[in-house]
Amino acid sequence: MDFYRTVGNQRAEQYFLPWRPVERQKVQVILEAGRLASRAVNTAFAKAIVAYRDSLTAAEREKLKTPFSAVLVDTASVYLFWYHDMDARRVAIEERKWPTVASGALVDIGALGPPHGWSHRYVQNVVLPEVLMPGLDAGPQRGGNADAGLAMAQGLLAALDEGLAACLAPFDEAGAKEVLRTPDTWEPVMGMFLGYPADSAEAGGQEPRPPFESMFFEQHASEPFARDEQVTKRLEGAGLIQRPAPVPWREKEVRAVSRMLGLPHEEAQP
Amino acid sequence: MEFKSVVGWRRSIRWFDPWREPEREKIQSILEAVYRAPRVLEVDFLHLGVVYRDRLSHEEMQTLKTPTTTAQLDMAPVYIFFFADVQALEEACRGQNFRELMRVGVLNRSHGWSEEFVTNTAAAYLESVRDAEARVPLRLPAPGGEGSPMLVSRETLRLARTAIGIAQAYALLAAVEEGLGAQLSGVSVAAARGILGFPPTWVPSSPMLLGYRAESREAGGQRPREPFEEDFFELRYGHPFYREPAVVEQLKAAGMIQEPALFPWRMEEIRGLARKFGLPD
Repeated sequence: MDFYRTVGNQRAEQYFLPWRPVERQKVQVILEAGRLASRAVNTAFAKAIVAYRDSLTAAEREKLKTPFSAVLVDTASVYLFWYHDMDARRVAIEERKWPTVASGALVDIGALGPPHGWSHRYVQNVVLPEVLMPGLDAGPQRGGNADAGLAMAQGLLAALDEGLAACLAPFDEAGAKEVLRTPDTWEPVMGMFLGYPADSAEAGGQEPRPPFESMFFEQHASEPFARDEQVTKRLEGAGLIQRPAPVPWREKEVRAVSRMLGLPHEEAQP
Repeated sequence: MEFKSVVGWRRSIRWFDPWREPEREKIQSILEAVYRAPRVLEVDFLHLGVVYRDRLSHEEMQTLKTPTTTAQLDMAPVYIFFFADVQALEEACRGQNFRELMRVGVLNRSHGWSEEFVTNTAAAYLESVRDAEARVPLRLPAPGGEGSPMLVSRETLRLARTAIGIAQAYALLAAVEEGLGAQLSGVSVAAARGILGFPPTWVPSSPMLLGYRAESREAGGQRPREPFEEDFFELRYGHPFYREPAVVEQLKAAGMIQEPALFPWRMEEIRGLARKFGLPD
């Protein structure tokens, strides 16, 4: 699918067809996309565990739920639990098993070189002691990691490209640790709940956002980035900007889909 | 471009044509892509700032540099900074975003959403994140150095940094879609604060350096990765997700998985680029 349409198709999907499994190949594509995401010092901060709803007991599913993901756990066919590996930096520096900045691999392949001041000696004498090692002796630190979120987002877009619907929602960390046996050095990012959508592709329309100019600025935080309508027109044509929620028939659709899935709903008023 | 091809062509570009500024329309397109990115727990964390290199003074440029971000800062004509405003979580605890999503049919009674749920459960969940016990100071104190740095829960930072990462993913891929090169690279946070004037509640992250590539699109080849099975598991930790070769072949055909570095001519390319820009060889 074209990139902008893939981005434009993203919704916080709530309604999945519970009886339709997701092909394993598609799950692999999502992981492959996440693996290729940009990451600092070429270190694998992002990790993920794939779980299938039907391979878990009802009790195990209950343990994973939060108020935001309760119904998703029951209806999505596949869950991808994304984590931040808080120990990844230490492993990269101390064990040097894998091709990271610390191992010198990026100098070897010409990604970093003398024109930018890089060399193996620079890695050892400057980058390691001044950039990578400070704070390492404090041990794994909670507080999130942008690269883990970045990998998850790239995987999310891959899911949409594969024709799946997805929703990012929190999962119960303690419950997941018990069910999935995650290490103590992993901190949750988000759960990605996947499946085939039960509602229409529009899923009610594109979700609202705060005013564009409140999010983006130019040169100084006090100067909004002026939004050119010609650009937005082009992006509408490209499928990035789509019809906003709610589409006129959304209420009827929600009612019907809720009936189909045995979920609570309000009947139409006469 | 096809999505998988966009993913495949993304590289950390470190060589830009410094005299060629990306068109404003392309920059806005990147912002528009980020604008459509999913929100973490429907909190409006994100702020992005576009900075044009040529509007900075030489002194400002020098203060931004770090051991890992040097010549590429001089070459990239545009920097896009990413921030998460931790104050946004406070705002979100009032529940207005959830109410709006209920109004437009995104969050529905089928999933337990109601005014009572917003007030007693969803907002309360956000409050528990905001009020979580483990707290750390935000990196920079208030402007002027008065008072102590603001304390924020690690849980808040976890969500904030996730939001930034999602935005960075969308921005990087949109840059590729627009035919530009991009790299996330760390700069001095203190210097950035002085230049951009962002509030103390904004958590900064590595900016995206943006411009037209001076190096080839291949940039020496796709960067190496650790084995797939080290990162992804199935059913439980320690049980690797089996990497099916047929899927890998399919992704090669689709352009997502490409020739790995090191291309035979890469070092020659580096030397040529160094000569082009008068950099050490």
